[in-house]
Amino acid sequence: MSSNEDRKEVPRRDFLNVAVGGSAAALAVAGGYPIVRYLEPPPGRAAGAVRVGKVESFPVGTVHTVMVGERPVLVVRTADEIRAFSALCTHLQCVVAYSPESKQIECPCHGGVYSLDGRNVAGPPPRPLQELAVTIDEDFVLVSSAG
Amino acid sequence: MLPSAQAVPSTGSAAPPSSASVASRLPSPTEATNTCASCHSTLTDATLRTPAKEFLHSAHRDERIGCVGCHKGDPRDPTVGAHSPSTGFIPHPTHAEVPRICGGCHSDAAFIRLINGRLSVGQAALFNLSLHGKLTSAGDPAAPDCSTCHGKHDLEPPSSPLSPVNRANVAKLCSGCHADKERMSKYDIRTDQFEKWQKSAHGQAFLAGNQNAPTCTGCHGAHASTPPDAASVAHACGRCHEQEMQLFEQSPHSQGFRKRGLAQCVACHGNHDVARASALMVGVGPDSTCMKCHSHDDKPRQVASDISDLLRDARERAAEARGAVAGATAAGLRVAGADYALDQVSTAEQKVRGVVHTLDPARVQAVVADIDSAVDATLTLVSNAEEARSRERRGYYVALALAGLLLVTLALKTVQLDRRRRQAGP
Amino acid sequence: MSVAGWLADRVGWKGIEASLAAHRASRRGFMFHVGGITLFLLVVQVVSGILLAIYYRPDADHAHASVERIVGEIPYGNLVRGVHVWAADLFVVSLLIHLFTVVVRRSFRAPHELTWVSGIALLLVGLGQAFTGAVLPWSEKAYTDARVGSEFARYVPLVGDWLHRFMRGGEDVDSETLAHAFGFHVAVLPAAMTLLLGTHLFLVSRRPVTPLPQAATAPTIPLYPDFLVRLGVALTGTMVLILSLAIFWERPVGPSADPRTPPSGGLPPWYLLPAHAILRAAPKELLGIDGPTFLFGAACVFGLILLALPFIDRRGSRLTVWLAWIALLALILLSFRALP
Repeated sequence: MSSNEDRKEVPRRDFLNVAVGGSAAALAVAGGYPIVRYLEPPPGRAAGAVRVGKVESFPVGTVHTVMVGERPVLVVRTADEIRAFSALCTHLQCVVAYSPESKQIECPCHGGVYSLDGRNVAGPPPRPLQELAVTIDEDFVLVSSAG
Repeated sequence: MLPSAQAVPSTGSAAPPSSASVASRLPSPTEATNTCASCHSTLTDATLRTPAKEFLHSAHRDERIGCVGCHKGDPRDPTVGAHSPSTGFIPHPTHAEVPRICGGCHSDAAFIRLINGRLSVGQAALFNLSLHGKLTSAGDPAAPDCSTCHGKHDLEPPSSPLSPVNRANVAKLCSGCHADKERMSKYDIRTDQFEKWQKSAHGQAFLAGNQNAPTCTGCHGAHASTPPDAASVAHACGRCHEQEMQLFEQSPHSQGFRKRGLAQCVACHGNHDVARASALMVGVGPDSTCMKCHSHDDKPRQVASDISDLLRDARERAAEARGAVAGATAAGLRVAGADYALDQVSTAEQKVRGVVHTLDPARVQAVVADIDSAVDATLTLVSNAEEARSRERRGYYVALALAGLLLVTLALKTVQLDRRRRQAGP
Repeated sequence: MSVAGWLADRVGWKGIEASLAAHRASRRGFMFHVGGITLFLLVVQVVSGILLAIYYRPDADHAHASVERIVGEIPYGNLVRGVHVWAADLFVVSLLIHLFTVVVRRSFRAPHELTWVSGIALLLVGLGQAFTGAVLPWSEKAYTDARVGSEFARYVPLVGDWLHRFMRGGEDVDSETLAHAFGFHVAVLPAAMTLLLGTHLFLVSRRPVTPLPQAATAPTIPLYPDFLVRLGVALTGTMVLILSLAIFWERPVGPSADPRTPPSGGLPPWYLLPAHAILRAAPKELLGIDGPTFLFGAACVFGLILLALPFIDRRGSRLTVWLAWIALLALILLSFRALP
């Protein structure tokens, strides 16, 4: 049973224990806050793969321009595969477009021409179009925005 | 057998030979022999021996062409009978004969297809359209024939870096004659083109290794090379600068230049010495190109001044964006998406350089607005990154303070425990 | 009864407290905290590693981009990655200091032989974690680290070629290397670490450290609460150090690795610098055997001696301490020699 002396000592010991426990707990909360924010789904532009449409909206033999995040992307569907390329010309970053008449991808700025597999075949572009990874998830076409 | 001299089409076009007659003209690989080289390479006379040696590396050394392809004669006869006139032997094709001889095969599509399906045909016809061709067929010794540029016995295909007509060597080839004052004085043609080109933006880009940059043939053509005249120079420039050409044609300058016979593009930008266009070209300042003609015209002065102001605004804003990103990066901040945002700014700046050609301040303003929004987007990214960092720092100081508090309480606890142990005795 | 009291009763706190208090630890000496700091750093690595694993993509096409995303876009991602990178280096340093202090205090003597052996095994697993972890960002530095670091494996006698292929997941450093590194880093090695650590701590608790003869009369304190409170001070200080480094000293990810045009030259991770120096200075031939293989073989022999130390030096002689200091000096000098 607690005597008077014990009662006098106990508050002091308890206080320091509480102080230690309390500051440890406060530190844990301060450390926990960034962890919780980190684990929350990130805001704004989602990186990783973005759904650009159903597979059937890209018929065989067509090229469509879609936006992935804030970037224009060409989705090329051939008989064997679906590929995606950044629609930014490798010359000076103008936005290229598909020309159905010539069946190739053309840049309006300086006449750069790319084949349907993104290779630079004519004009000033020094490199092929940057290819982006494509995955098919259920019926949807996903294009990686990480490049 | 190969087409004989008589069957060579003249400057006009001949009916393409039927495939049957072509096939009958070609010896089969087992029959084809080239005894010319086997004799000539042993001769003591260097002028007769050297061509045979050089020909071993020629692009024409295919036995279906061989020496007889140009010189005719009988390739199967190992004696000097091979030279007899009845064989149609041509020992020294004259200057004027050369294009006709080369054209004999190189204008014959069916024949060329059998040798090398990738080659184009019709060069001779194109050549005859040019001043080079006209002078050469008239016999002018100073004008070039096919062999002047392409080589003779040691001819390499244009794709080879050893060929004088390879893209990398074209400028040197053309300037070999066109920079020669003596040679050109006869025709009253200037000789400073190569020198100017080397200093130009095109030349600098080319010499820095970008072989997509224009060299002589890019603007003048190769076989049909002709200097573009005032009305058509825009089409030469427009082969690459298509946007600018289209925008120019929408401007008042287009008709105005045509009426006065002024050279489009060249009037403001120069031709061989074309430099990278600077914003100082527009406006009412001392370096302004506009003022060269319009120094006393009110409306053009106003337009020039307006556009110049818009360009200055765009420049300042773009510099603002770049400076913000550079400053943030130097401070160790990671600005996510900064590269792409600055790309957007650069794309818009590139568009502005084009739309200036319309001379329409409203249209320039529309594009400058694009620059504005791209710059704003960039600055937002930078300030977000800065804000995130200061939030992080604030959080760190809070954690530091709490850790300090914990350290102090732990230290006090240690002291207290020690004291208690001492009090409790040994 | 308070909540704390209720919990204490359910957990059987009284018995645990008594057992902990019965353990005595030395009152003075920072050296006794190094083991605890190492364990703390390991816990920090596990926590920050788990957090990183949520956003990290372990395939060669996306690895670098995912790390850039963590650092650039995820809130506090920069902090989490910074902590993980810095604590990794501190972990290896702490391991080595812990090893050194154990040798110098000769705490490896009987009855602690098994504790020592499990500790050496932990050191190897820890270095393995550091190595595999460095590969994961798939940056140019990661690629160089993987390539140069695994080149050394060739020169280990007998198992050299096998080890080389094992470290690379194949002949070259490519996407297979990354896949292997990831599997080892998050699964295989942590499992091994858990088993070994459990063994190590169990053995330490069963056989508390024997003090040196001259320290036999030094004052001791109970493990709980006195020693642990002091250890708490050390751990809080360590945490402040990690956070400060993570906030103020950036460790940039660097550009993405392109195996088609790999960066040439380069240094291995810092803890392999001595091996790099040996390789560079090795003569072509020594006693008829290929020079580098000979020297690496000698290093392996040294490693085996280290492993068997408690059985070789049963009484803990002064010579061992001298040799330990010389070895430390040699490693530091070699590391500096390896730098360009």
